[in-house]
Amino acid sequence: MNLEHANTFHLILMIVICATIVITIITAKRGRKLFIRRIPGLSAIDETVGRATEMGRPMLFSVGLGGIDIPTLQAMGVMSHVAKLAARYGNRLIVPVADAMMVAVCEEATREAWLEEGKPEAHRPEDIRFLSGEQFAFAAGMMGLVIREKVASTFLFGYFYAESLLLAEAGQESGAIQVAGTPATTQIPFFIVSCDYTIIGDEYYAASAYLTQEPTLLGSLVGQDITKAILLLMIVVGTILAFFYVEDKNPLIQLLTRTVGG
Amino acid sequence: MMQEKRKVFYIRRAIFLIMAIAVAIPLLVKISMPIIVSWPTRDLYEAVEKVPPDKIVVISNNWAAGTQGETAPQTAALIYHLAKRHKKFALWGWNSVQGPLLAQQIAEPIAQKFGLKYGVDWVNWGFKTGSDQMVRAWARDIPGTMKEDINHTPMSKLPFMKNVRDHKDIGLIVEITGSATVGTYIRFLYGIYRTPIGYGCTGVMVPEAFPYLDAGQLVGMMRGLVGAAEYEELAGYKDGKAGKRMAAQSFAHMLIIALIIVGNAGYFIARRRKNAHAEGGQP
Amino acid sequence: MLKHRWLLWIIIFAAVIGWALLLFLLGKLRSREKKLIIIVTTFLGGLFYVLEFFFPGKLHLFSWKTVNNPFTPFLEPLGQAFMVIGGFTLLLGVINLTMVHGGNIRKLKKGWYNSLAFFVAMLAMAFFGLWDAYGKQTTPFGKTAHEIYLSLFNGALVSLDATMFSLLAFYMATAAFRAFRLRSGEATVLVLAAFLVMMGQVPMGMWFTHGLPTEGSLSGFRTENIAMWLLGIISMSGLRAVNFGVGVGALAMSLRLWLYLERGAFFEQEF
Repeated sequence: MNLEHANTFHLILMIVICATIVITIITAKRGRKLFIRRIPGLSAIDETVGRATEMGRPMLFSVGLGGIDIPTLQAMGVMSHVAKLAARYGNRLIVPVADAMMVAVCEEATREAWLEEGKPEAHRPEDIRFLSGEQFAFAAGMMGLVIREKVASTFLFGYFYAESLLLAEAGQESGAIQVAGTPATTQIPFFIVSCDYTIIGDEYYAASAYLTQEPTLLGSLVGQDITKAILLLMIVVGTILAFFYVEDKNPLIQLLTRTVGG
Repeated sequence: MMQEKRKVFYIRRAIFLIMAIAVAIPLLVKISMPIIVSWPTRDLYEAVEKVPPDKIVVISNNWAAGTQGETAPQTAALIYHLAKRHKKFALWGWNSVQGPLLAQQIAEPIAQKFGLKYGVDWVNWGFKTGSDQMVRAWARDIPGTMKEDINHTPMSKLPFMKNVRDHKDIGLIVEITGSATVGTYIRFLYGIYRTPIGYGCTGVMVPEAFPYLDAGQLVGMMRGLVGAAEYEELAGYKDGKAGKRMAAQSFAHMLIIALIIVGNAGYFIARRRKNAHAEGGQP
Repeated sequence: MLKHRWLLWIIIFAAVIGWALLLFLLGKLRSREKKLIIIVTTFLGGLFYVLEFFFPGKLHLFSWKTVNNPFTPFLEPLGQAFMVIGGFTLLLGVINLTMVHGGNIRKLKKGWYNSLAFFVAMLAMAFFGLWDAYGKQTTPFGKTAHEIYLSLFNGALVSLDATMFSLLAFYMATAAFRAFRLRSGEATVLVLAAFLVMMGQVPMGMWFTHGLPTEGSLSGFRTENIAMWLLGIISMSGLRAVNFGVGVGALAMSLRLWLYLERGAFFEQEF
C-alpha cells in the first residue's frame, strides 16, 4: 500500500468517517440529548483550582513540549478553562512553555480569559514564561518553578516525553495536587504513579466536550465512538477472512486485498 | 503532620542513596553478565547483514545528550557492525542538533580502527532542520536536500555521494532516537517506497514500537540499553559500553523490585494495625 | 536561481514591506472580519492538504491524457514557508527570557545571581558557538574559541542533559516504592506484569530461569520469553487499541478545527 496518495478505499473510509462525525454534530446541535460518562480527572479540575485558591498559592499549567499542533491545541482548550476559573477566583496561573511560538498564543489565551471574567487588569503576562526549547532544560526550569513558587496545583496537559516523570515528581514532592493528560501513551504510566488524576488516551480528546458540555463537541464524541465501532468491525471481519481464506486461492479475497491496498 | 513529612523526606533520600550505590558499584567493580539475544535485535542485525554492497545504510541520529546512556551505545554497536562488514553508511539527524555531532564523535574512532575513510566509506550529512516535508524531499533527492556535509563540504565533492541519489540507493535506514520520530520514516519511507526501517530507542519507548514491529513496518529493533548490549554481543563488539552497563541496570531493576516488595510489606502491616485498632475500638 | 544578487535583496525588502502592510491592514479590521479571514484561511489551508492527499499522483483522464497531481509540487515550498514563519519566533523566546531575568537582576530579587548566570551562559554559548561555525578557525583566538566551544558543549550541555535524564532512575525508584500498592486484583496483575518485564530485561532476572531449555514448550517459561510475550502480545494489543482511540480523537479534532466547529474557552475568542 502506497501511502503517498489515497486510494479508493482511503477516500471512501475518510468520507464515511467525516460524514459520521459531521452528522452526529448536526443531530446534537438540533437538541438530541447526549450522555458522557464521568471522567474523574476532568471533574477534579474545578476542585483543584478551588483548593489552590483556598491555600493562597498559585497554580501551574504546562501545555507540553509541542508547538501549535493538535495535542497542544487541545491542551490550550483546557488551559483556557483553568485560566477562566483562576481569573474568577482571583488566583495566579503560571504557564511555562517550551516553544517560543506558544508564548504569544498562551499570553493571548490567558488575557482573553481574564478579560471575559471582567478582570483584565489582574492578568499577569509575566506568568507566561518561555523556559527553553531543550527538553531537559525545560524540565529543570519547570521543576524549579514548581518548588520556588510553591504551587498548590499543577496541570500537565499536552505532549510530553521522558521529562514527564521529572515534572510530575517535582509537583508530588512539593505537595501539589496534580492533574495530567497526554496522548503520549508511553508517558501515561509515569503520570499515573505521580499524579492525583490522569486522563488516559481517548479521554484527552474528550476533555473539551466534557468541560464545556457543548452539543457540537458531544456530538463529535458520539461520531468518534461510531467511527471506532466501524474500525473494530473491519478488524473483526478482516481477521475472520484472513483466518478462513488463503489469499492466493480466493478471487474475492484478492479483490478485497487490492482495494484496501495490501 | 510535620513528623510524617520529615519521615517521607528521609525515606526518599535514603532510596536515592541506595539507588546511587546500586548503580555505581557495578560500574566501578567489573561485573560481566551473559547476554541473551532477543528476536527484535537479532532481526535488526540480520537486516543489516542483508544490505547489498551497492546500497548504503543511513543512521538517523535524532537523539540528544539526555538519552545518550542508551542511544550512544546503540549507535556505537551499529557503526561497529557496519564498519566491520565494510558497509557504507551515512549519519544525519533532523530532530536534534546534538545527534549528528555526538554520532560523529562515536563514529570517528571506530572508522579509524577499521581503516574506513571519511567521504569515501562513510559520511556525516549533519543536521537538517525541518520535519515531514523535508524528509519527503530528502527521500526524493538526497544531495539536493542536504547540499553539504557536517564539515560544509559540498555533496558533489564527496566520493561517497557518487552513486547516492535517492531512496533507491538506501538499503536500510536505522532510526536511533529518544523522541517520537520513527513515524515520519514509517509514513514517508516505508509507506511510499517500502524502504526497510530499523529502530533503536530508549527503553520507555519500546512498547509503543511493537505494533510497527508486528506489522512488518520495522525490520528490527534495539530495545534500550539491553538492545545495545545484545547487538554488541552479535557484532562481537568487546569494547562496547552497553554490556558493561547491564550489570548496573540489573542491580537497578532488582532494587526497584525489592522496593516494591518492601513498600507493600509496609502497606499491609500498616493496614493490619489500622484494622486491629479499629476492631479494638468497637464496643 | 536569480540572475542578479541585488534582485534577491529587492524581493526580501518588498516581502518585508508587503507583510508589514498586510499586518497593519489586518490590525485595522473589525473582529468579525478578522474571524472571517481566519475561517477562510484555515479552510483553504486544510483543503490544500486534503486535495493533495486524495488526488492520485497521476490521474489518467483518458487513454492518451495523464495529469500529475497539481498540488504535490507546492508541498515542499509550503513546508519551507512554515519553517521561515517559525523562525520569526526565534527571538520571541530570547526576548521573553531577557525580560524575565533582566527584571530579576534590575530589582535584585531573590536568586538574582541565577539570572546573571543565565545571561553569562547564554551569551557565552552563543558567542563561541557562532565563532566556531562562522569565524576564523586558524588564528590563535579561533583555536581557543573552538576549544572553549567544545568544553561548553561536551563538558556543560551534554553532561547536564545526561544528568537530568539520569534523575529519572532515582525518581522511578521512589515512585515505585510509593505508588505500587496491591490494593486490588488489577493492581496485583499490574505489579506482577511489571516484575516479569523488569526481570526479563536484565541478565540477573534471566538467570532465575536459565536452567529451562531455550527451545521447546518449556522455553516459554523463561523470564525473557515471558517478558517478550507480555510486551509483544498483551501490551502491544492494548497500545494498538489506545492508538486507534487517540488517532480517531485527533482526526475528529482536526476536522472540527478545519470546519470551524471547535468550541470551548479558547476557540470562541472575540478579537
